[in-house]
Parts: sequence; structure tokens; C-alpha cells
Amino acid sequence: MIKYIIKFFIFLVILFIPKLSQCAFLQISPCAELAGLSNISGLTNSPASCFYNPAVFRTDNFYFSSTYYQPFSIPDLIYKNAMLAYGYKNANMVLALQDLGNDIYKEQTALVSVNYQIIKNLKFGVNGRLLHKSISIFQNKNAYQIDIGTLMQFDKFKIFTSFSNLTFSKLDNETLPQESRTGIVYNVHGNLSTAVSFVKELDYPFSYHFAVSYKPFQIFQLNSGFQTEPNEIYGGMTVSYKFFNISYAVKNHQCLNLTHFFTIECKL
Amino acid sequence: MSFCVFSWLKGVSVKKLILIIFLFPYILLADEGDLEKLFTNEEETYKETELHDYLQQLKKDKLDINKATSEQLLTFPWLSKTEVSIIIKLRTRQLITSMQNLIDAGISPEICTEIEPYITFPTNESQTKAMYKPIQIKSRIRFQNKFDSPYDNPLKLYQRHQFYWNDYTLSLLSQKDEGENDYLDFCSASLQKEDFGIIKKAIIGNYRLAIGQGILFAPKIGLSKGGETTRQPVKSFGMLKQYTSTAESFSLFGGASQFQWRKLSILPFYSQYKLDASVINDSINNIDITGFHRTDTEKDKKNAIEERLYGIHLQYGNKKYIGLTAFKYKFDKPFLDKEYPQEQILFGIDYSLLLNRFCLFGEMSITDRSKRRKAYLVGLSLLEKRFENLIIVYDYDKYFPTYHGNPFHNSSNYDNQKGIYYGILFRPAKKSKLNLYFDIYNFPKERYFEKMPTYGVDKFLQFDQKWKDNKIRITVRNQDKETYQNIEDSKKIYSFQRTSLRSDFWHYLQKNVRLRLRAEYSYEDYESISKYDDGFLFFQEIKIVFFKRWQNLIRFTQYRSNDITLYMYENDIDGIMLNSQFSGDGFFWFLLLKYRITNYLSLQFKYAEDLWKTDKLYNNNQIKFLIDMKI
Repeated sequence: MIKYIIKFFIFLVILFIPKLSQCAFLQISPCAELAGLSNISGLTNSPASCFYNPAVFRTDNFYFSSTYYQPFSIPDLIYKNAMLAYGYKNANMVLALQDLGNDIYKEQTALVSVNYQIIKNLKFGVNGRLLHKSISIFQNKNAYQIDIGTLMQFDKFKIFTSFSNLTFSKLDNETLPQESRTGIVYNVHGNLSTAVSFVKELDYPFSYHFAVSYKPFQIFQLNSGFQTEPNEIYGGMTVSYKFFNISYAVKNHQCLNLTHFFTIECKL
Repeated sequence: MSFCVFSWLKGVSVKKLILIIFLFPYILLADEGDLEKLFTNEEETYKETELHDYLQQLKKDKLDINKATSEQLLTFPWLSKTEVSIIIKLRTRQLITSMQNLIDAGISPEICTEIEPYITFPTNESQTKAMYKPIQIKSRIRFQNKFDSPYDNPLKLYQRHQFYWNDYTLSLLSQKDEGENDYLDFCSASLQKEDFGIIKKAIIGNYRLAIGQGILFAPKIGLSKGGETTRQPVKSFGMLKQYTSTAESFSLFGGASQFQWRKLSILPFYSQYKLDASVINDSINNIDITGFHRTDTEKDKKNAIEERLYGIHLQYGNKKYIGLTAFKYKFDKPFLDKEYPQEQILFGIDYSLLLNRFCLFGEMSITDRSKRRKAYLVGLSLLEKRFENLIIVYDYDKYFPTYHGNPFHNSSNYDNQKGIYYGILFRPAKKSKLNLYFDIYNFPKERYFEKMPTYGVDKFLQFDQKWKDNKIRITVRNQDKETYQNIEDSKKIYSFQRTSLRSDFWHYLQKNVRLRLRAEYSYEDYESISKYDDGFLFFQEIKIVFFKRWQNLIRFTQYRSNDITLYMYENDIDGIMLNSQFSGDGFFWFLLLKYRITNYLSLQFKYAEDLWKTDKLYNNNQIKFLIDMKI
């Protein structure tokens, strides 16, 4: 009974504090590396970045990853995802499943993302998502949405833009988040990159993101960053060994507890 | 003489001529704009900081880069441990004779420009020896008088005398504040001996300690955040120093000695010092740190309690080090609030580990079991030539003893705080610099009457660009925090935002005439109530260079504010940056004159006046006079 009450309380928290946790449908980090980079997709080639911009990810062959964490260390609120990606010549594709919530409240997404290098410096990508929301005492709801993204690559710069929910899809008579993300990545020198990104969700103020990625050694990468709206600071690291990458990240929040992210990736 | 004046005036417009007629020709002052970067947080009332005083002294007695210790080099806010390490290594290979040597060794040209006014390069031994004098005396006397002062005796008098003989230094200081009748209201004296045997330094008298990141001991006056976003929050002071500050409450008095044997440093210390405090029923109600003894109430607080403390600090290593501290303090009276123990033992560990371009540093302190409290700070910095990154995480328990510490923090007392600071410096081009910090903090436990935790977020962005003889600086700062206020007869927590947008411009009208302009807009917004206040501030400043012995600066400030306080650092005598506050509408101006009569005697004069003020809240009218002597 107590467990049920706790879970119901958590459901209320998710429902009524959207501004604090950007809790519009599944706006949380899909992997630890991205979390450590303040969710700036252009700073990494990881397939998980397709959740923010379908054009930026790249993989040479097969790729698999899995992520797990508890947002704001709230017990019984669990996020998990699994991804499968494949790259062939100028095209890349991702299949992803993600799940957030508990027995009472659950948000799930199935995503297909494809990008293609149109010309030398320009890539274009598109996502198709199927979203499913279930609340134990209410009827389940489904929706779909389409997102697009572009990436322009130059010698030391990358510029990326994306728009989500082009179809103005709704769930429960509420329009799903429509975000515009634009950012610039600058490669300071070989193993050090910085990026700044601006995010505008229709009903929320501008959010600014900044991140740094530093690779002091080939097998070790340090990430850090911050964002506004809500104000959060991120930090993380990735360790690479042969085919595997293990990533960890942590973020704070101005009012809520820390979130610890874990991701395992396998590249074949 | 008249020909020289005529040729100098040729090409100058009438307006400029009028200005120049009223001004004496003066030496070009060093760019205070760079020094002001260190003190960008103008909301904090600022007194003369040890750092600022040290830098001003260095301008007159520059540091020999070939002989300076790593401690002395670390006190420069622009030099990290990595850069100091580069300089020390370079010195073992060659004599440093110019800035180019430092640039070639890996120090960025921008940092070299910052430190250039404070260092010197003796090229040979004879030149080094020529700088040595058997006995040297430095004296400074400062008078200040404010107009419309409510006090009978408005004169503020400060004097400091330092005597140097071989490795001995005797320092005498006294100060009388505005409104006080005793001309020796505050006195401090200390005798220091350096470098004898294994004793690196010994001090008897008034002194101060600085250990690690300042949780236990640090100079109490100083700003945590500023325009040097990746350097300033990292504390690096000399461990032991004579007390030369005018902040009366933060001195230690007794004896301390630093023993150095190879990499091991041992610093025992003892202090017995009287403090001002409000005492009720023979218990301490609160410790008064203002140092004012103007009214009967303030006079009753003077030297009302005594603190005794003793302890020891051990440190192993130089560039990479680890330190241990243990000390005990005891007050002669108990505290009214039983959360503050009358006596307590504190332990601390501090460290700094330098690895290539990374530096991991921090300090952790814990009290004894009587009232177990802890405080820690951990930081990681990455320093590349064009990019620097600093992250600091800190957590200080409520009621942690803050009597002698001053670590990175966000309020007047540093206990009951935790947060993360993220600082970035980026040099996109040769003469460009971008400084950015992002600071999230909160005060987790109840404070005063609040029932909820309070938090704050501080965002800062500053961009500098130089080209030819011009420089522009754009600063944006946003503070978003909860604050306990009494607004419209309602005392509660408000969510409050303050944003400042400022642009500064420097331009050389001619080779020896420099103009500076500022435009600033600030606004404050209380979210839960419809209260929005804003204000503008503009100033125009001119400096003129002509004869080497004369210095002059004049500034005209116009401000207009709607129930908001505007802040401005203004140049004060002897290079101090004074934080002036304005509210309402008005016009403020000041004139600063410096005249070096001989190489050993200089005079300074300042006159400041606030005209046409609509709001009498702040009194910035003053007249000051300073004599500086060096024998």
C-alpha cells in the first residue's frame, strides 16, 4: 500500500513540476555521454544524439547501447533505453526503445532515425517516433511525431539545427513538445572541443547550453557543461576499451537531487 | 616649454581643450580596467583587499621574476600552478630576461601582458645587488573626510609604516574610522624575520594565516568570483604574512613560525586576540566584525571578548602538496546560541595535485565530536593555452566555524552553503577573451525565519576585444535567487532576479590622452509580485599623460534608477577600487590627483561629489589626501 502511495506521489511530481524537470514528454538525456555534454548533440557522434538531432550521429558498422538511470535519484522512477544502429557508406540508421516511469505511470518511445550525407559538408536526418503513455487507472494513449535535423561540417566548426514534432502531434489533447535546437561546435585543438547550443521550446523560455569535451588520452574522455532553464550543471566521463565504451555522468538541479547516468556501448 | 605645449595641443578640439585646461598633464596610469576585472562583483561591499594592496605595492617594487618564490608567483591571480611550474623550470635552465622567454616557454601572451606591470628582469648580478638597500622605510598616511557626515569627528585617518633591515620587517599600522574619537582606535604591529636556518619565516605580533582553499584560515576580505573566471575562485596565498589590513576583526595576534626542511613545511601558531562583540548576561550574542566604535553601543562592544587559539599546519610538497591542520580555539565567554561551542578542535586536509594541464585541489575540514560539523571544497581545473575550464564543488555545514576562513562562497558567512561553480575562459583570437561562469548554490538548512531552502544561480559573461589603441568590454550578469525581503509590509521569501548589461570602451584620443566610457542597464524583477525596477548608469572618464610626475583622472557619472541600487567601482587614492552605490537620480563626479614630488615622496588627492541627488540613501561625497614615503 505504501509503495503504491509513493509511486502515485511520484506520478504527481512528474505531472505537476514540468518547468523544473523539463518534464514535457521524454525531454531527458538518452545517454550518459550526452548528459555529460549538456545534451548538445553536435559534440558527439553517438547514435543517442538522434533524440535531439537525427543528422549528427554516425556509426561505422553495427552499434548497440543501453542506458539506465534514476532521474533526480527519485526511487521507483527509472529510465532505461536500448539502441541498435547501423552505418553504411553515407547513411546511418538507428532503432531505439526507451522507457520511463513505473507501474503507475509510464512513458515509452519507439524511434527510427535515418540520416544521409547529401554533399560533402551537409547531412540531413529525420526521426519517426511512436509515443505511448500509460497511467494505471486511465486509458493508454499513443501519438507519433516527426523530427528533422541538419548538420554542416567544416574544418574546425560544426553547425547543427533540429526541429522536433513537425507534425504538431498531440497526446491527451496536449501538444507534444516542439523544440528548436541550434548549436555550434568548435574544435579548439585535436582532443578539446567546446559547443554552445540554444534551445527553444514553444511554451518555455530560451535555454542555453554549453559543454566541453576533452580527451586527455585515447581511451578516456571528460565531459562537462551547464544549461539554463532549468539551471543544471553536468559532468561525465567515458572510458573506451576495444569494442566497448562505458560512460558515466552526473547532473545537479537547482532544487532536486543529483541524477547519475550509466551507459554501455558496443561497437562492432 | 610653450612650443612643446602648443604642438601637443595642435589637433585637439575645443571640447577636449576645455577638459585639458582643467587638468594637469599626468603619467599614463596602468590600465585599471584589467584590475577592475578582478572585482566585478560590485554587490559585495569592497574594502582594500590583501591582493589589491599587494598588486599596488608590486607596481612600485616590482617582483624579480628570477628570484620570486613560487608562493609569491602564485599570489598573482593570472598565474596557475601550471604556469608557475613552467617559470620555475625555466629559471633552472636560463636567466629570464624578457617576456619573450616566458612566451617561448609556454605561457600565453595574454597572461604575460597581465603580469608585465608587476615584474622585472634584472639582467645581471650587479643589477640585482643594486636593488638591495640596507635599511628601507615605507610609510603611508591617508586622510579622508566625508561631506554631510552625521558624525562629530568625520575624519578617517590611516597610517602604516614598514621598516626593512636585512631580513627583518617591522610593520606598524593604525586606523581611525569616521566618527571615532580615538586616533589610535585600531593598532597593529608585527615583527617578521625571514630565512634563518630552517625557519623560513617567523612573525611576532599581528599576523594572518592562509591554508589550502581557505576553509579554516584565509584573508577575510576578498571576492570569490570576478572577471577572471578560471583563476580567481582558486585560492593561493602565502601561508603566513604580517597583518596589514584595516579590517580590525580578522587579525591573529601572537606568534607563528614556518619551518622548512626540504619539502616538508611545519607551521605552529598561537594567537590571543580581543574581539568586538555584543555580550548579554556574560554570553556572546554576536561577534561584531565592522570595527566601528562611533556610538556608545559600538564602544561597549569594543574588545568585549577574547579568543585564544593554537595549532599546527604540516605540508609536504610544493607544486603537488598535501597538508594537515589541527587547531583549537576557545572564547573566554560562552555563546548564547548553544549551537556555537565556546571551544572546539578543528582538523583539516588540503591538497593540490598537478598533472600535466590538470590541477585537482581541495580542502576538507571537520570539527571535533562536541558538535560534529564538516566543510569541504573540491576543484578541478584544465588549463590549455586558448581554453581554460574550472569546476568547483563545495558543501559547508550549518554552524561550521567561520571565524577565520574565507573559502569560495556566496554569502556573508560561508556556513550552510553548497553548490557548484563552473568557469570558462576562451581566447577565440589573439586579442579577444571570453570569460564565463555559471554558479548554482543553495542554503540547505533553515536560515532565520525561512521555512524552505533557498537557492541561487549566478551567470556571468564577459567579452574583451582589443584592437589598435582601443578596447571594448561587454559584461552580462544575471542573478536568480531567493531572497528574504520585507516588501510592502510583507516579510517572506521572494524569487528575485537581477540582470546587468554593461559595455565599457577605452580609446586613446591622443597618445597621452585616454578616454573611457561606460553604459550600463540593470533591472530587478520579483517573480511572485509585479515589482520591476530598473536603472541606467553612464560615465565618461579621461586620463591625461604629460609630465612623468603628474597623474590625473576625472570621471563624470550620470545615473537614474527606479528603486534599484546601482554599483560602480571608482578609482580611489593609491589605486584602491572603491565600490560606490547609487540610487535615485543624480550626477556624480570625482577628481583624482597624484603627484610624485621625488622618487621617495608622493602625494595624492581626491575630491568626490554627488550633485542633484534625489535619493539621500548613499553618501559618496568625500575628500581624501594621502602621503606616501619611501626611504
